[in-house]
Amino acid sequence: MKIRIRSEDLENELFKLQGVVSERSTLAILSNTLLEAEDGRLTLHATDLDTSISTSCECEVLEPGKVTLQAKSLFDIVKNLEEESLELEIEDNWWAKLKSGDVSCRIVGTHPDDFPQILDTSEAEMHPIGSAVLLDMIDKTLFSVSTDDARANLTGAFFKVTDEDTLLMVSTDGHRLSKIESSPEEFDPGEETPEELREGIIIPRKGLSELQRIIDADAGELEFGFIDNHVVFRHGAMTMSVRLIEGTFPDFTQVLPNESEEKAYIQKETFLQSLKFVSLFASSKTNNARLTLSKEGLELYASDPDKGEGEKMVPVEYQGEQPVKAGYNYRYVLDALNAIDGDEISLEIIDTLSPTLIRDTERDDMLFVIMPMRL
Amino acid sequence: MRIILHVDMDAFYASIEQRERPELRGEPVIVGGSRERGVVATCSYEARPYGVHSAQPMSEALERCPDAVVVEPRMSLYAEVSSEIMEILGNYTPLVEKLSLDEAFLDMSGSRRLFGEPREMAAKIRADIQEETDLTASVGIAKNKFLAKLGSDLDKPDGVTEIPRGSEREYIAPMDVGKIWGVGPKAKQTLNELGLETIGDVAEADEAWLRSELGNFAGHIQSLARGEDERPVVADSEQKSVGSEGTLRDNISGPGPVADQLRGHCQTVARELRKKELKARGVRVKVRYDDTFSLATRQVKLPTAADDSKTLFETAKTRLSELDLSRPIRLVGAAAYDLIDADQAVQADLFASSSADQESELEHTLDAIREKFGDKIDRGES
Repeated sequence: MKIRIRSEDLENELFKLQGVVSERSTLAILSNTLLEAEDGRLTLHATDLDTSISTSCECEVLEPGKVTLQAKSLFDIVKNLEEESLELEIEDNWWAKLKSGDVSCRIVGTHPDDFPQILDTSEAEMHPIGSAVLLDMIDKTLFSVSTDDARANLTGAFFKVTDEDTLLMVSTDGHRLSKIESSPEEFDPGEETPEELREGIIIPRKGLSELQRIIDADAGELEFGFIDNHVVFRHGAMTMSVRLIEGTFPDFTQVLPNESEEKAYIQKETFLQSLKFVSLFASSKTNNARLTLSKEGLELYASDPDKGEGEKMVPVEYQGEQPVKAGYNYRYVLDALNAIDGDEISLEIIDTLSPTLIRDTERDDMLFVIMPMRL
Repeated sequence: MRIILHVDMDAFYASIEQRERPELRGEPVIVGGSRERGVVATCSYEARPYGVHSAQPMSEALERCPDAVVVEPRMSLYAEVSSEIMEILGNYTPLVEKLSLDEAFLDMSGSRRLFGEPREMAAKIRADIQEETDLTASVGIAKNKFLAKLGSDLDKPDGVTEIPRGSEREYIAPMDVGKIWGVGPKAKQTLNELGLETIGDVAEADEAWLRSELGNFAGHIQSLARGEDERPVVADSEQKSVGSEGTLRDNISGPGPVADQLRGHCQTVARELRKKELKARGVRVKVRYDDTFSLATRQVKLPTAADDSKTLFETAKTRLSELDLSRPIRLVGAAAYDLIDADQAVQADLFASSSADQESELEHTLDAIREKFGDKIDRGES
């Protein structure tokens, strides 16, 4: 294999792979990328066996061929090149000779057959979905995906095509839940949406955070599909396949409280700053802060025997007859507020033990639920 | 004089698989990923003469040992057995530092009067582990952590090595530099290139020269090479549990009788938790089989911290189906772990029933009644 390629092109493609290649994997080959040069294109593959990315760019193929090279170090090398183009030639022992201007180096490589089989996604039926919409859905749910391996079914976001042909994404770690339902203009459910997508799939955190890292919100077209227990995302020349989490996502519809009549309306920024202030007094063991809603406003309070206590009153619009209060892990509240783009939020505290709801008053497509702490 | 023990389980994952599946005993067993592209996590001693070792690509391992039985790792099971072993170690000293699922350091400096000479301590610990878990461990005994860890590797499996006091440096001098803690394949290569092949070479090397070659790393490995290591054994914080178990007069089998026993133990555990003003975030169930004397345990996290027997029992009971209850069982037990102060604010769970609070209150009331009228009262079967 021998190619001539623009340094910047190669750097851009290698960047996309960095999240899935691991230097710490027990399987050394997984820190490599498989390079394939053919028909005027260079295709690169990387995988951690659960998330796989294939991407390609144009190049001058002087001699077609394949090789695997250490992805991180190749990226570091290419990033530091000053010349506009580089030449890569594979020697008989699978080492790569790289030349660019007055730089020349030899990089250890291995036989392409050492690389694991990459899932063939060409048969997957793809559905267009705007990249801005999908990234927004990820942005609103990723933070509440569970990191607890003991609840494996919660370590990904639940994603489904609803009966109304909208897209639903929900995540929960058992303590809080985020839900967003979108109907992007670009989306076309196609003739026959796979049964799995209608019932809902669980997409692991890693795949979602990688999409967020790689894809630009104004990048436009993005497609998704389903094949062989994997969800597939395609964006230009990049294809990502993510092995789905097996198991059943809990029936969250059962635990969502009905929309309350007695909402409080609060300026988001004021809420955020006030909560950050009282959190200075929250116990670092429990992160507990108490919110009380009454006609006087929203009272935020936290205390810790080792620190003292802090309190702040925020004016709110609240119609409830009786004051209601509950304690929360303030970080969960901050996370939800930070996920909201609008200026005003609504807060529904039902009682000390029931799930509390937070919404963006400008958007009824999403909902954040937080369970209180019991004292 | 410090007495440090390093306890290292032998072929931990593979041995557990052999214990759980008796048909694998005596067979070469490889625990690891799938046949095509996995890697060996560990292998039983039967597989080692073939040249199989951990971190080897599975394809290569199977080329070397085609008859090996490949088993997918069951990490949650290994974690359960691990916590059982750590509990056993905790009976000997509060200073237990868990390095990974299958190895730990014990600082036994203050335990001589209780457990005798270091070799006797090691023998008792190994016997306990063998009896409780049906697994073998190798133990290294020395004046510090590095030497103890080195020792446990010298007579594997099922062995004890005490690094002789006073002549540690001479004892380890002929060993390969790769045996120094923290020296991996890369560092070993660097050292070899400097002409340092044995631990003794590193110990004798000129300090200034070694520092100029290796930087700050030099001082660290040179002290180790000289058998010096002052790092203390740092006990894991609050690794406690509350348990109750009992050997039965007659063996039982079947889900019903086992559940009855479990309920009783959960009541005892819950009462103990309330007495100590603690709540548990996890519960463990264990049974010992009469035919093989082997112990099986399952543990499960509680959706929210609890101190009532109903929550403990209902949660623990869900794991019974994963145990073989058709065999004769001689012991049933329950334990609550991951304990927190009862008055600590507890995060509620979206998907858990909110009844635990009421249950807790009810049982607190029962405690008070018992206090007054004696022990002959419990919750019954509901």
